[in-house]
Amino acid sequence: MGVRERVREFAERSPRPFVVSAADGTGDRLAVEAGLRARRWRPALSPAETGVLVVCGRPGAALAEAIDVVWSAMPGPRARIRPDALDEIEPDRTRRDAGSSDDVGMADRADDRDGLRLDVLHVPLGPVLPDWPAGLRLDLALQGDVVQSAEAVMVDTGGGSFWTGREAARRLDGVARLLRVAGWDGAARRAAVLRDDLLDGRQVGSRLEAFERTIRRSRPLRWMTKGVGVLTPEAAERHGVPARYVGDVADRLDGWLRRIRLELDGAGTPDGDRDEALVSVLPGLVTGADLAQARLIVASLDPDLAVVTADG
Amino acid sequence: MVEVLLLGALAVAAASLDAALDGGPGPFRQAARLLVMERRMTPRADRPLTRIGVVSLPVAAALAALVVPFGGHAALDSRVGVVWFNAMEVVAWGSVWLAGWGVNSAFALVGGYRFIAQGLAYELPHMFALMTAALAAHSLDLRVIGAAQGGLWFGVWMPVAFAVYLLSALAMAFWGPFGAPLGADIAGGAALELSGPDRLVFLAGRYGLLAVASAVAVPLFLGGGDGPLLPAWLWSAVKACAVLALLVWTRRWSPVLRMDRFVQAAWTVLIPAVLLQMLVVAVVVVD
Repeated sequence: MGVRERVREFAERSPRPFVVSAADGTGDRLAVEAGLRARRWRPALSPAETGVLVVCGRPGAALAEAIDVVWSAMPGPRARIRPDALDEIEPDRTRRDAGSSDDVGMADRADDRDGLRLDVLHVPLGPVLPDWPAGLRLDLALQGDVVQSAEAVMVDTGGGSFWTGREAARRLDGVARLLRVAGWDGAARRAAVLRDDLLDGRQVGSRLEAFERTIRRSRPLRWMTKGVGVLTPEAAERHGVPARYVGDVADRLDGWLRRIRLELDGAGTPDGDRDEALVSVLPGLVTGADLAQARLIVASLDPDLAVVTADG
Repeated sequence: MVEVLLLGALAVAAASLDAALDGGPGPFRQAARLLVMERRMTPRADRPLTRIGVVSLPVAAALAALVVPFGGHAALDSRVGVVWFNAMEVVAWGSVWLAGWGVNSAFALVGGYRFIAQGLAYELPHMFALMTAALAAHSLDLRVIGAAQGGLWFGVWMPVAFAVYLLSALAMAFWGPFGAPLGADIAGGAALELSGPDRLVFLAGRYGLLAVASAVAVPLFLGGGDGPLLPAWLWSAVKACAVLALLVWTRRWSPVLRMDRFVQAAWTVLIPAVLLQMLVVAVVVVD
């Protein structure tokens, strides 16, 4: 066996998969996350980082197309696997020709918020993006990293919610993803472990309290989320969004933590979320925000497109 | 040259510690994974610029390492080590920006710009912190500054400058709370489209910067090689390891700080505070 073979074998024992989820892929995604944790693997943030793609759920035609584009741009040796096949990664080592020259959108120009004439770049957020609501795409017009206008498109929907009857776990998942978007991996991992323990019916009592304290006491987190993505009561009512989403990202995170506690104390009241309304309120909220804030705003609303039915 | 190699080992140690804290695979496994991976480029990427950006990051770290003393010795005999270190750190701004710009990807470009904005926020407090230590020792030579602290380390009687230095060390290596240029929210930012060996070289450069920034804190604020029993170079290394471990660890404490908010704190709190510190030091030293 040559040196190259040895290096390859050594490397392949800890791949770094890029995980994509369809609207109905939440269960699969959680299984993959737990699987990665158990193997001490880390997920990739971008497709260029890795050659291993995991597709969760059953993507509809539009999402499947987006996934194919990402797949074709991934560096080899590549392997595309099902969520339950983490131990059967068989990379395809055939070399491909580099450099398919896709057309890249060119910038045009418009006045920015200070009246300066600047390039406008049309950039989609999602649908293939880590810690992003499955099936959602936000088409952004950016000047610099500031969103000038946005349009929300539901690329993949339906399949029924994984979270029915699992409200506390759903909110912990939302907290975990929000924290990852905020760049706090350590806390996000604690939230994900708590979520999985809760789903498996294990006791989380004191660990959840400690986690809650960590989050509530973090001044940097408050500093970075306060005043971001303020939803007014009027806008909430206009879009049919429940009143508990009113406020900024920090308020909504706080609301989730309270909600988790209530659920675990058995005092939660089921109130059907209006996930379509959450999507419809997004463009207005992210307009004027920068990319980082826009990501936090989307994460703090966390719409579940699995409950949206195709005919609207 | 031993000093530069030692700093290289420190960079690997930093990557190992981070992997251990993270519960992920270690740096050698990561390196192997990236080495056997294909090198892909985005359509219409500016390859030369990207390569220059990627390669210049570890080069900047290595060049900065030339003036870092262990005990009384540095690889390069320089009387202006502080200035050289500062200059190499600014080369890193160029590296990250070129890597972000060159690959022709919107998020990568945003990542590159984020580092420039970060530079605007941290560089002035950082330079004042460096100058405070240099002022007290009447020298820009890191070896002289390290030796000038006698029994009382600068970190003890200039706590504000020391704290500002530690913050800016994180910021210059875009690490932990200052990791926005490679942020998860923009799918890895400036490093988003780097694959295979390109990515390996770029990330190695970042650990190199973090190691150098930690090691420079030792002559500036922690008495250089000062300490009982052990030889001076070993004391320097031990202190550098301690600072490095602290910096690596910060990633677990805090979310990423966005510059749209941090820059205000940097200019209204950090700059006045470190200027005041410098004034106090100046008065004490002139006395």
